[in-house]
Amino acid sequence: MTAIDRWRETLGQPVDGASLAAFRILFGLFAALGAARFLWNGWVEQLYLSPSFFFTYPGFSWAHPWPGWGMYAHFVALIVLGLMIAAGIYTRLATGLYFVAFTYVELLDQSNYLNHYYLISLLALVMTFMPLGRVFAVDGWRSSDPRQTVPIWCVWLIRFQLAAVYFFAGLGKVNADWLLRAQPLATWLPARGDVPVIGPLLTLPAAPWLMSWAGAAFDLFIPLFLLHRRTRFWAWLTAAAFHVITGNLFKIGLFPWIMIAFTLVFFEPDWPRTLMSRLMGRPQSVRTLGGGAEGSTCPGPVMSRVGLAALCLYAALQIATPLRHIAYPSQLLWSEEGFMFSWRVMLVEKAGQVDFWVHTEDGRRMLVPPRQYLSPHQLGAMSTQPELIQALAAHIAAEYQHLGDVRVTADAFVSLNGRPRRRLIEEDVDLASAPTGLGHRARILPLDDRQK
Amino acid sequence: MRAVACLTAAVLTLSACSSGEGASATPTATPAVDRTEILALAAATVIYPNYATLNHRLDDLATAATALANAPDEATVTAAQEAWRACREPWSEAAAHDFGPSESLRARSAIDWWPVSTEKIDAFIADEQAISVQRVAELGADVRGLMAIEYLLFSADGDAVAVAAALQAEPQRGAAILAYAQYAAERAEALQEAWGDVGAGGYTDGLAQAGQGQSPYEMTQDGISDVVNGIVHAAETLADVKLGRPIGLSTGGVPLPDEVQGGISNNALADISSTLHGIRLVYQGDASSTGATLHRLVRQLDPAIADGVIADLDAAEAAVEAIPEPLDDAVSHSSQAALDAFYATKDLHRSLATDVASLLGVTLTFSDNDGD
Repeated sequence: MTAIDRWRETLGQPVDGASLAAFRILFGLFAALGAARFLWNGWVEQLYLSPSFFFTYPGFSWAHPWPGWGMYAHFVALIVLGLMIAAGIYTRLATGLYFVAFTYVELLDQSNYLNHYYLISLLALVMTFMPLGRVFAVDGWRSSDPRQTVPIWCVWLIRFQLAAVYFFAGLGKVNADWLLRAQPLATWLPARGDVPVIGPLLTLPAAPWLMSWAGAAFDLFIPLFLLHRRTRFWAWLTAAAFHVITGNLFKIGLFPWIMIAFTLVFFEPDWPRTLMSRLMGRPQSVRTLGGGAEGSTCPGPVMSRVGLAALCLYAALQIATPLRHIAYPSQLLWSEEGFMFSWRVMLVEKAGQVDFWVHTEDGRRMLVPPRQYLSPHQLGAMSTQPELIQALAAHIAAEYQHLGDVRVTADAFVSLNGRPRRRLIEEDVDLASAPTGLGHRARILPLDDRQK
Repeated sequence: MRAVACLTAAVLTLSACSSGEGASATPTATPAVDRTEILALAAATVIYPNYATLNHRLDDLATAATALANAPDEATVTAAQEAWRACREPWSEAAAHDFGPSESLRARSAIDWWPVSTEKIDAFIADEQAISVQRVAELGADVRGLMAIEYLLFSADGDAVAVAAALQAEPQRGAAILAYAQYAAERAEALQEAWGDVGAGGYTDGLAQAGQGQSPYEMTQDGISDVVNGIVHAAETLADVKLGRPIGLSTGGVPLPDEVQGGISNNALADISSTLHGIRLVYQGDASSTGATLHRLVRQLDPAIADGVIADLDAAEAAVEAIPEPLDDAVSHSSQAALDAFYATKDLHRSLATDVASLLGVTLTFSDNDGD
């Protein structure tokens, strides 16, 4: 038997599907709740219907919001799909459709990018390939398949994904601003002196330093402690406490509560049954392939070669993507080249101000404030991100096309993590004709350039 | 445990030794400037008094408009013009704190919309129906307010006699001025009441108590964010709209003197100066202020940035003062002084929108959407 065969056999082993069922239920409920929040808070109108311009992702310029009530219907569909996932109704189909529908929304505008939205998309994608409708699911009750198990790779893939979030979030904190200047917590914490009980502590000079170092250590090592059986329970409690604190200190929406719920997957695969046994006072049995108890000698199916290859490719991408910033010569927090999709959370306090200038061939120069094209939300995001600044410059050039061949330059200034503002982009460069794509944007000025 | 103790000691040592950039984390003997106190003082000593003054002056304008409507002559025209100019000062200052009740009551559309439609105003006057405050309330924003009054009360050549003659010839004009003034005064009174004096349970208290109890602000920082955004938007409007557009920066150098707000009354530069003064009051407090202000907080965090903001404020005020009156003439003649004033106000805008906002952790014009 080759090593690959051994891996296929190991990853194909069945385990109790109860923990992934709990994960699926929580995922579905958060999916529905998240979509409902968009409707309730008016974000559908604000983020998708009001703007006249969208920062689409490279290669996804075809993605446009549905017209009229379409976007509202889309979010209602997300709620329904979330509830179907939670209930386990047509689970695979619902999860697949949810992945497509949710990811479509995220692709509409880069200025709406959030790490936890990306996480939801990834989880929905991988969940689509898992047999999640067997346990605690309407599908399972309707099915003649008695299995209450899932291949172990399913559990480990979810664990891997969550561990990657923590680890790369921690790795992102290993930088001079975070560790040697305690930024941006030195900016944020003193502003939260009004928090009951701990507020006064947050204003102490040492607070940002302690929380910076502790936060980095937490993110880097919590996956290890969650994976280790002896430390798992205390690690999860620590994670829960960490997320409750950050959830109360900062406006980060559902993210902390999602992570508290999702990290339950690090417990044993049968943890929901164990919990129910304790609560109900009687053991909960698990039917496996042969209908016997878990641990039966009945061999499980091996993972297919294609499946193993896909799993390895996915894992490799998840490791490589957050590290791609190494390929860029610029400073990550300043240029944000390689920043998205890399789990860099809570690392920057940025404020920017951008004005565009349109230059015509006959020497005229016109000031174009970006506010006329963008919503306040988009304006805030664009003002600090060179890629979005360039995208808007290209749009402005198209808008002024009737004046001939125009150049578009930008006066872009950004303050990063408490530093005085600095010019972000060379002021004379025509951004409309500058190269786009994934390559380094040479016109981004270095952070240590003191030019005001 | 020993490792944890060593790590903690190392972190505390780093914290104690830090200096230079990131001075916000530097231990200091000076007590921290209290953000709640900043909000309380701004609301009680700048914002509420400003709206009280506005309300009082709009009442005076309504009184002057009554005299004007009853007996239009050079004296009543001049008195009404002076009362109108007196209203512009607190209103232009209020642009620096245009949030809370000002937004919810749509004060701008009721009191000072720009540009107004002179065609619609003429049609309103020519209408045979009696002019009343009730009818003004039903009008669109561009057919009423201080700029509609300006259109009827001033002539471009400053001739009060000619204005009086027009009012005598067409009494509906005087009635419109009166109804406009009374409606604006009503709305200003509602605005003042909504803010309320200290202890009255209005927005003044809500801002002062941000992060507590019944305050509309969940966190103190939300209040700070509104206040900072207020001055950022005021500076941005000055640079891009009040100066940049008339100068012709958006047209490739073709001046747009008709875009000067307050061009007929020749009050445009006074308005701009008042808004700059409003920004200074919100940011720095008045000259006698000894309490907590945004400026003192910024100074505590980064003295260089604090000095930079004050220098930018001084430069903007001086640059605006250097523009020869009237502004529409200055922009028509491509005045370098007007261009200098644009760049000076733009620098102020940048300082507030980047240095100050980032230092205080304020999110500019951002939604309440999820983060990270």
